[in-house]
Amino acid sequence: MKTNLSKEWLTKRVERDEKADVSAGMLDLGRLQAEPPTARVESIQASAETENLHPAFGRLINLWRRKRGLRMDVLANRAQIDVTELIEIERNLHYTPEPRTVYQLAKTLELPSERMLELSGNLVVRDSSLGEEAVRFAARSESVEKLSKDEQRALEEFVKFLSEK
Amino acid sequence: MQTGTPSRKTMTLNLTEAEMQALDELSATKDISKTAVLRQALRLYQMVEVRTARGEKLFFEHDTTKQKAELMVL
Amino acid sequence: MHDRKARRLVEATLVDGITRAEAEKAEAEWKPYLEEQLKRMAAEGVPKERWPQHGHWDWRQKQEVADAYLAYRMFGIECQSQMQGLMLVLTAGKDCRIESQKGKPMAYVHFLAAAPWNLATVAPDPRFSLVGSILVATAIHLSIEEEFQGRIGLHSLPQADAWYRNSCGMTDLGRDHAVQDLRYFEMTAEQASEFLK
Repeated sequence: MKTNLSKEWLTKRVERDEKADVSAGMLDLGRLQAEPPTARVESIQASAETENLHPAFGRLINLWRRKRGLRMDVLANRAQIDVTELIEIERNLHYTPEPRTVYQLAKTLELPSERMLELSGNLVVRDSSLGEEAVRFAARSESVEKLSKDEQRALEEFVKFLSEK
Repeated sequence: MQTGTPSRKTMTLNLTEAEMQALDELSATKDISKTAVLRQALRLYQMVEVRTARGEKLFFEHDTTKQKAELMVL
Repeated sequence: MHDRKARRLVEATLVDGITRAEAEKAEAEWKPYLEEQLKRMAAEGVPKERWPQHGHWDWRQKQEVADAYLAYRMFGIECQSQMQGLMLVLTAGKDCRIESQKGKPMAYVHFLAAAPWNLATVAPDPRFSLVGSILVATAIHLSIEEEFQGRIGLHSLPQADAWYRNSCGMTDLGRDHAVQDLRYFEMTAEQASEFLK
């Protein structure tokens, strides 16, 4: 494919690009549906795990917040994030929050930020154990007003796992 | 700048009148050559094939009613 | 590419067809840098508006898709032995929406990103500019090669909206509810020709 970009053209574009952070594409990781059957197992697993992580992230925030008896608006205020984004995180299983939001939540809820970035879909995960634990956690926790003993146990174990790595 | 353009091979196609007409119409509608139409068809067919082999189904969704229907028309 | 510090153009290579090794290397270099900068930004209390709006894509997975499907092409810009930008383009199955070219095929930019050390929102001193311009030009050239006459389309991440609209001269067709409410931009053949001038 021929792409002759002249020096003059490049120089002209320099000014226009100066302050631009250019990017395009869906926010979700691993959302490219066209997975070939010949793709390596590791890659298919990694992508499946990315899909599995989103529900676990929202569920984690939800349970952690309820364990501390915090309303959504109170947590949003403390974490200095938009309450609408917090609602999305907890209710929309496929939502990928912005990196800053993840950092702020991690700080406020005292959870490890790097793992939270992975769990939220902001960083690529190569550690298969995170995916496995996330699925297990999401499956064990259910949305009820007060945390049940099982939910509490599931939450504690998952947080312990996140903090250990 | 470097490029990675693959080499190309030539093939002769035997098409019916109806197939040739469909090809002509698509070429006119899409404003691309007949070769480009066939290239598009091959790419789409490959994508469909891989996904159906994975167990997925190909659907159309009506823009307004959001009603889904499989690939067949009736 | 443009070296911001040296304030001059430097030699770069457009790679057409990223290999697995190249994708792995890019990820191995981009991810830790991004993590480090996000930590720094959190520690410095950088205000919300100045944070990047997304994290990091899985380029290895995208490379596999490009390898496996005729319809996908993956490009990169290499400079000083590092990948400075990556792009995945779809060349079948996406039709134009602008009325004057409705239904005509296009080259759809599925993903486009500059290396994190080139991003003003992430890097304290961004290294290179022109990643966006070169990759958009590449997408247009691909569109021309495919006989789509330069027509391209993409969904922009919010921080880049103004650039696609004003600097590239693309048509903003508004928020696409089917794609996470991202703004959808499209370029006509005329706009593409103008961009390349």
